[in-house]
Amino acid sequence: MSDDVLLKVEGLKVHFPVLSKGFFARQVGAVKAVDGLDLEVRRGEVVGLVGESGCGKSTTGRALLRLVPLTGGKVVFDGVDLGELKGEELRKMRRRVQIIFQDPYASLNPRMTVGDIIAEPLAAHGLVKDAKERQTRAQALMERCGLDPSFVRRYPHEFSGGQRQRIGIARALASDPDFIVCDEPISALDVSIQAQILNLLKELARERNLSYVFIAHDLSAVRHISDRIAVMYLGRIVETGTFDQICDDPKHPYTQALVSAIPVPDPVIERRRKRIVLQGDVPSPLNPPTGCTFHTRCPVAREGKCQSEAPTLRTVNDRLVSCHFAEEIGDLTGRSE
Amino acid sequence: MSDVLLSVEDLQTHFHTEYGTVKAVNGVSFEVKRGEIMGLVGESGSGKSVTNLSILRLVPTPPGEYAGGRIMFDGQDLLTLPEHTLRSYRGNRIAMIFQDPMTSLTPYMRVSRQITEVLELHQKMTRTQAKKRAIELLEMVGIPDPAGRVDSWPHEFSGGMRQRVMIAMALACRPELLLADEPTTALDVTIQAQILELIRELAREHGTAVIMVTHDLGVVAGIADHVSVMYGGRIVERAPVEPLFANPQHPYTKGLLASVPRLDSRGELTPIPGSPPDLSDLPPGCAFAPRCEAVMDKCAKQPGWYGEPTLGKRCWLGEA
Repeated sequence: MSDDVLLKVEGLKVHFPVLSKGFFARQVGAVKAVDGLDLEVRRGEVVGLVGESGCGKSTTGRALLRLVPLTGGKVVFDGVDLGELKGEELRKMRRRVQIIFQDPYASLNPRMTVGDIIAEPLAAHGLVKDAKERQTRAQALMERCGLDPSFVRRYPHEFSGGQRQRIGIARALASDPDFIVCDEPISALDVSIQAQILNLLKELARERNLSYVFIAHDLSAVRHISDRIAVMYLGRIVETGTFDQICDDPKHPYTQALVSAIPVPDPVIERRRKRIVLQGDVPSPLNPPTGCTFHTRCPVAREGKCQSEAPTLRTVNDRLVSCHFAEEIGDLTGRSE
Repeated sequence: MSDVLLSVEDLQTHFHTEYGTVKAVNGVSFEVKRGEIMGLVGESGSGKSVTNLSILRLVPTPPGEYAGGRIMFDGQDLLTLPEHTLRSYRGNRIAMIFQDPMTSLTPYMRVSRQITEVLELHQKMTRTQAKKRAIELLEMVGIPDPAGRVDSWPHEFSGGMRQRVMIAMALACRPELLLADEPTTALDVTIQAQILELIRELAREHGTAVIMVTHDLGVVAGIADHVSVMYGGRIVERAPVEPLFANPQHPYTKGLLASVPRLDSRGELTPIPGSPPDLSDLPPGCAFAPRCEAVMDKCAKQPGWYGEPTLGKRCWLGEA
């Protein structure tokens, strides 16, 4: 990992319009899926993007590839603003940024052979002109991803969930990208298979100096693969830091609650742990709370500032936190350290 | 009255399909005491959910068939009980919480009606009494403004709220046994923490026995007293929760624990090679043998149970 920044996201906004009924539909509101997000990914770095369902993490992932239109803000990849690119230039850039999807059943075309699926990026970007050569490349990628290369002519339905996810990974690698968005690549898999895929992704990142944004709702999985973790809540980053900072000494009250809510497979530790049980549900991104969006569920929200003023990401104890009172609240689980 | 509330003995639930007989549950035995929370752990296709469904005889027959065994609940075999008697148990003495709160509530019935239905049927309450009790139940499971929300429709609730409604329905008649099938899998972790807390409280305060089916070892560690680990339609290891995690005996349990990412450590993950078995084509011997590190010649034959009924494993390694 080097210091040079590969991807820089500034004030990213993705809003989905809500229309009134009828033919002359007017826009009556917007789902603010991502609403002012800042993020940096260095070359060779794995950033875990964590949050609950509906917090905008998948939309962020898609916005990084410009698979959804950006409402505001900038996504700068290797010095180039992706928002400015059009047509051929955008297509060329997409060779370098790839995505691995969550659902290995829905993300592979059932009518294509595995070889054709994996070779498609090579054909689409005109990287390898010869069809035979493409199949050979596909076989090499299959082998690297732990699949038997002799299955190159088989169809996706002949593979198990874990194997299909390997096909998705091989396809993402085909165009030799610098950066891959992994959108919950293990959450649809069986427990004993998840570790296989996590380890494969980790090896590949090291081997090819890849950068990932690894999206997940499960902080423990992210911890195993990420160099840095960014925690999202309602379309914004609330805290970023190293895995130790986030998992062992979280500062934002939401991160603290999230970490305390994740069960640890050890009954002795479980019995000792104190949980911060948050009240209620995540508010609707259609109409997010004013001020700090977390104040409606925050156990230490204060009258005034939290309701009226949105906090920005600022440095607290060597990491970025967006909370007005990050220095004062301390550890909410009451551990004394 | 004995301490043991439910005792499953050599249960066999099979499905007859065009591809052959799928032995989803293939000789499962366990006991649950009053007030005890038992975790039933396994991967998808290990037979844990079918075991749970079999207890209330909710497996559709055909294609399903209860091919053998007994399910003794408070001295009676649920598998041979006449349908109308069993019906008076369902939702009354034994209740169930399903995995998916989005699809397990009737969409065209108000929440109040879904809860009062069971109260009027089993407890012979009047509508007014039942409604009052429904409001109490919603309050108990932590729904804000229960009197105002009792007449809402299911789609007006979020996932976590619907799961609370499901739990309120399940608890309406103060069941002795609660069957929970992955009750938190569809929920976010902060909501999961709320629901688990609620189930724990119930077991403690009302003495309800709980069978908690899950694939999440973290959930089991936090909530269960006893754990049964299932693989390929059989229980392969059974132990109280602490020894199971501190000193797992079966190679599958060991492998599973080593392959799960943990929040409190960043050690290397050791995955279990291969994938789970095909239940329509189980090997004659140990189903885990093809993936097992410690596989021996003997594993081609089905191993017996080694140890106590509540602390032991199904593995040839146990034979001293």
